[in-house]
Amino acid sequence: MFMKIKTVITLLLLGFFGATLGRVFKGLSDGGLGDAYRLHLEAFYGQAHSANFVTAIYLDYRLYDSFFEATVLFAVATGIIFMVRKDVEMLDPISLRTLKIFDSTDDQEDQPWKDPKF
Amino acid sequence: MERSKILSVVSTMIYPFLLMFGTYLILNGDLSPGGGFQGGVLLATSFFIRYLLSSKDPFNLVLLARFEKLLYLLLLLIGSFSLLIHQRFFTNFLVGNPWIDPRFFLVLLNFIIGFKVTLGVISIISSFVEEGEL
Repeated sequence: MFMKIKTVITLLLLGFFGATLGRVFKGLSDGGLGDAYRLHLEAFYGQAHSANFVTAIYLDYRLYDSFFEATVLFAVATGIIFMVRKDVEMLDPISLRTLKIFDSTDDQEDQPWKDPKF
Repeated sequence: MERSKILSVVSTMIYPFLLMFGTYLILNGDLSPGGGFQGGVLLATSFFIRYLLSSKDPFNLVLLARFEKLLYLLLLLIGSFSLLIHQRFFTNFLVGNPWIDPRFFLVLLNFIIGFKVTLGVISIISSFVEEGEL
């Protein structure tokens, strides 16, 4: 019984979704993209000198967003390199080398971040 | 590692087209869908295909990380250049000058972001390769 009610509701929702999509696509093919498209194109080209909406947004209006996306990727790459180089020493709980990280030894084999080349 | 012949042949066929398409996405990113991030990931994928073919890891992780750092600082520098001209952070500093087309800013930033993303993803893949055989 419940399964039938669920099926009916799902079919109704899918039909509603399909009808909405059909209306949208019909509108697209009927009247082009409309006046709002032209208005935004002119505004974006006048302000950002970009022929593409998305470029105008992610390289001009929201450039700091792109910048911090690059920051995230940079942090991920750095973290993965650090873990690959260090995980044997970091994740072994019995090993005494884990404690040696906090010591002030000058052994560069144990502490690659003190290497000036890195 | 044993490789299937189908994988090698198809990778050899796909490799130049991946390089070409990644470069196209980066350089034409301000006019068409695409851009620095997508093109950069495509280029990095083509280098990964090269690893699958030749099974050598030719990249130096320290050098990759250093170049990525430099490109990141360059991105910050170019982005904040407009503070001197328009008194605003992170906007196009070429708008309003009569000599250079402002589109040059978009192409340059796409190029830098694409190169940086390529280096980042290559260094991630290389560190996984260094950790153990893929």
